[in-house]
Amino acid sequence: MGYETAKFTEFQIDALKEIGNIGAGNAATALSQMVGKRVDMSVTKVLILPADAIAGFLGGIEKNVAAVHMPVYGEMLGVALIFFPLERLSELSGMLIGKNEEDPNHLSELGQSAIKELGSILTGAYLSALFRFVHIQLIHGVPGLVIDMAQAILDTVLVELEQREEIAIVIETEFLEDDKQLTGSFFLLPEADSLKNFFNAFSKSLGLPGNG
Amino acid sequence: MAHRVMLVDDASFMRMMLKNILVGSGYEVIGEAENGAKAVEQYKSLKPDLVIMDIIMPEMGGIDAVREIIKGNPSAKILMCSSMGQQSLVVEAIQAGAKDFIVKPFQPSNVLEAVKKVLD
Repeated sequence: MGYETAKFTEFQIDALKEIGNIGAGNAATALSQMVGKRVDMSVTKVLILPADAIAGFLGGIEKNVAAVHMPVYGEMLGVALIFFPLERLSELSGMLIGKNEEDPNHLSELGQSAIKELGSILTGAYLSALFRFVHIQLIHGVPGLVIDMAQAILDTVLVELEQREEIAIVIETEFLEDDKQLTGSFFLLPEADSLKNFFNAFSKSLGLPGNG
Repeated sequence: MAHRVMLVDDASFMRMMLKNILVGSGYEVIGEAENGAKAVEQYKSLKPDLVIMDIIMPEMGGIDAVREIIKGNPSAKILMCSSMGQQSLVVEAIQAGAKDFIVKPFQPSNVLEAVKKVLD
């Protein structure tokens, strides 16, 4: 319980940000290919948040958001979550399936599938960057899409983690397509004990000069 | 005669994208399945020339499905379709009998190239 935020040094946070940028680069390539247009992405923030501060970060516990969630396994167990602003969801699915749907709360099955796949591909891009950088092998499972109030989503998703850590690794990413800007947040919520393994592997990699 | 392809992916969006690419290049998509178990069943009845198979799917994943299909037909042609960051799973799939893999998201040219290579 209670792995303290302070245990992440500034150096480690910087390294996470760099990994996030590589992941965002992968993700931008992925997204550009999916929508057939150039999409740029950059990491605006990397944070280690206490789990109970996530909803606040997303705009408040009652803020309606869309989230793609999926289990993460391998050298760390946990859940990955990607939050998208609900008011931009129709636009996002429209970019992918080629037609706009009016109501983000009632996307067609195809529209929902496209958003889930987008979440899954973005997660894959971040996890792949982690692997390249620090050789931590993480694989994600089948994605699900939920649209609800931020806290309700967290409660639903986090219940799947029996013994979760009290922190989340957050990589906030800005997408730019033409003049349109969209911010998405990637969250990695580790299970208890897993974070320690992650840390050990992470620190070991960073401690090997010239090998990172 | 057009090559007959079966698509296996839990995401209908991905199946749609693949179908558009393949049909646009003269392939025939004769079946679609959303998990490995259904793919194994459909493979027996449809006998496609090629299967494009996702790895992570509910119920039965792609690697188990490859094993099952290969058990019934050791010369089955299966092309894996994986997300980035699933390198270790791709190796496992190839060991199970898959012929090659493509990484999602893909460009049409990558898909067609891999399909052609596996079918030739």
